[in-house]
Amino acid sequence: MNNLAKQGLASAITLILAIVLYVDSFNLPPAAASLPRALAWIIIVLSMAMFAEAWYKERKKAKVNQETKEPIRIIRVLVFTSMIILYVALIKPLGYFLVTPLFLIVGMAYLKATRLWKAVLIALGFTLFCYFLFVMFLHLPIPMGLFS
Amino acid sequence: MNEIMIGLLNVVSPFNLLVIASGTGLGIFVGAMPGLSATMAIALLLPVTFGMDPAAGISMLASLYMGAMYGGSISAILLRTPGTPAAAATVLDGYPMAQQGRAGKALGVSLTASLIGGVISSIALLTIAPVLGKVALSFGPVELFAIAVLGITIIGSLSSGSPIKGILSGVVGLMIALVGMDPISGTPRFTFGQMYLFNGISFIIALIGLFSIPQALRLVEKDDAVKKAVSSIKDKMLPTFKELKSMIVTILRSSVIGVFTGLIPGTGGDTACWFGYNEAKRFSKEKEKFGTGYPEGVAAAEAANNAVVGGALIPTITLGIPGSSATAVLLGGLMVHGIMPGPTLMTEHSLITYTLIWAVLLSNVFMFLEGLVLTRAAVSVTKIPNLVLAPIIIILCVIGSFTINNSIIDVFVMVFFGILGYFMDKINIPTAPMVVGMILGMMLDNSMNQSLLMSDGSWMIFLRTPVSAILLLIALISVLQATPLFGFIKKRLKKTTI
Repeated sequence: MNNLAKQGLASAITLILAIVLYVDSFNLPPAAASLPRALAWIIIVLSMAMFAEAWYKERKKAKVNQETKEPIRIIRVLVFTSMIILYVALIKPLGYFLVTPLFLIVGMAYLKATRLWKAVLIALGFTLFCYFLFVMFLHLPIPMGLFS
Repeated sequence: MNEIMIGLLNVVSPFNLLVIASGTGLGIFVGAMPGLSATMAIALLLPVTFGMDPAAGISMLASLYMGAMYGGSISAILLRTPGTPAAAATVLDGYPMAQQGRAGKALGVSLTASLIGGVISSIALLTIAPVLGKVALSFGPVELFAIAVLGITIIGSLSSGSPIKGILSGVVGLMIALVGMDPISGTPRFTFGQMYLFNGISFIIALIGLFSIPQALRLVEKDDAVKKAVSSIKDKMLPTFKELKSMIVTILRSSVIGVFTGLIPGTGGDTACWFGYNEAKRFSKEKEKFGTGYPEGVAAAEAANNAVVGGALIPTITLGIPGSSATAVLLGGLMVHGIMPGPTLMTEHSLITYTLIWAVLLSNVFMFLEGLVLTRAAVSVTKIPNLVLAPIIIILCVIGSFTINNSIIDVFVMVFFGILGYFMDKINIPTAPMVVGMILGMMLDNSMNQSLLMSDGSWMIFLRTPVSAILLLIALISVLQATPLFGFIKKRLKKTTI
């Protein structure tokens, strides 16, 4: 996706969001609706200005040389993000002690961050460190799941 | 005066000294690691301070901020990669010094300049904050509304990238802050029938996601670069009295620049270091030496970025407007304990506020002492691969956001904001104004409604009081300077003067 398309998509999303909130504000009493309505108008104007700015810059850029960017590993970001969502979804039912080291080991192995034995050591060490810091030292709750 | 002394007595308690020392040490390590920002570290540490006494917790966060400002120079000097954006200008003279075998001296100059810059900014904070706090106490809802408008427009228009995007990010933040029960009418606003949204979206949860997840994803984006050889520290660190005397004027100038840069919302250490460096070069008799391994270049940049800390805290604690993204998170640290930002910080919560101010001053001393001992150890921390750090950051985000309300939905919300922040970063929309918008949203809403009640619905009330009118005028100028209209007027003025 080129830069203009990305900016256009972002402008469209903010624009739709502002319109939805503006329409929803009619369900509110006048005192509660005045500020959101004003803000919705500002968002509408700014999102259109953002697109106009991107369009203007793109036209100017087309005249000068295209700059090359360092490629990024999109698949890896997507897989890692999915791992995060899975980790959050499983931590409550299965518990911190099972899911956390698993996430760390699988995550580091997938990213080829370090050797497997080091990843296992880091995962176990860090899981225990967090437990002692949050639960034993600070008396804060962590999801225990099966271990509760 | 009494409160200032009570704050001092509070800060020297053994536990508070311990948290300040550990916060500063942690800051030095985090700052030294390229890829980890001070803001992210404060956001991740925030849930840890949740279980502490508010004064101790907030002091720990502030000292981490101070420590990270010095820590950033370690990798700037030894690796040619600034640990934080605030150390970008340090590379110019710091790295050549390291190549010439004077790495220790470069780090020593950086440490000394950071100490002086930090102490000067702390003194500025200690003297200006109470005065400004007293002035702020006389402000009513009309002035508070103008302050909130000014805060959001300035931070939006001065943030990196396009001012349109900065202000848009801030206004979306204001809108997010309005989700939940409306305090005036008691009706739920934009909750779409979801019980979770009745309490509003916690900005602390949002900021943990916005400042940490994108950073972890950015680390995953690229393979670990082959680490450059780290220059070793073989020489003496501390500068001699003669060396210090020769650069004291530069350090003092940069410190003043840093304090003022910090004062302006939206500008932080990354602006101050360049500003300080350029001014030092401009005033210097030996301009040609800058960029070749000249200690004064390191001192100019480092004094400025540490001086930002005290400067940025002034509007944060007196008016409730964060001067930088890091101080926005610090404000979050206060809100975790139920302390609302604004002028009451200097009255109702004066003990916490003065403890924080003294903690900032003390953290400079700890930074200096720990810097002498820990710098060599911090070098080894820079060798940790980025791909190992990424999953670790995620664990801290997840556990941290869970502990705040013991809620897994909070964690999902945090991840949502994290992914949102990543996309915002990809299209160069700054996230800091959004967080500031979320902080100022309620203040803006309450003050606007109260003012309109006072004036029977007339908006002219905001222009009738001089303070409000002036603040709104500055806000308008800060918005207009971002538009093509301002460029057009400037061109016309140039033409007429020619």
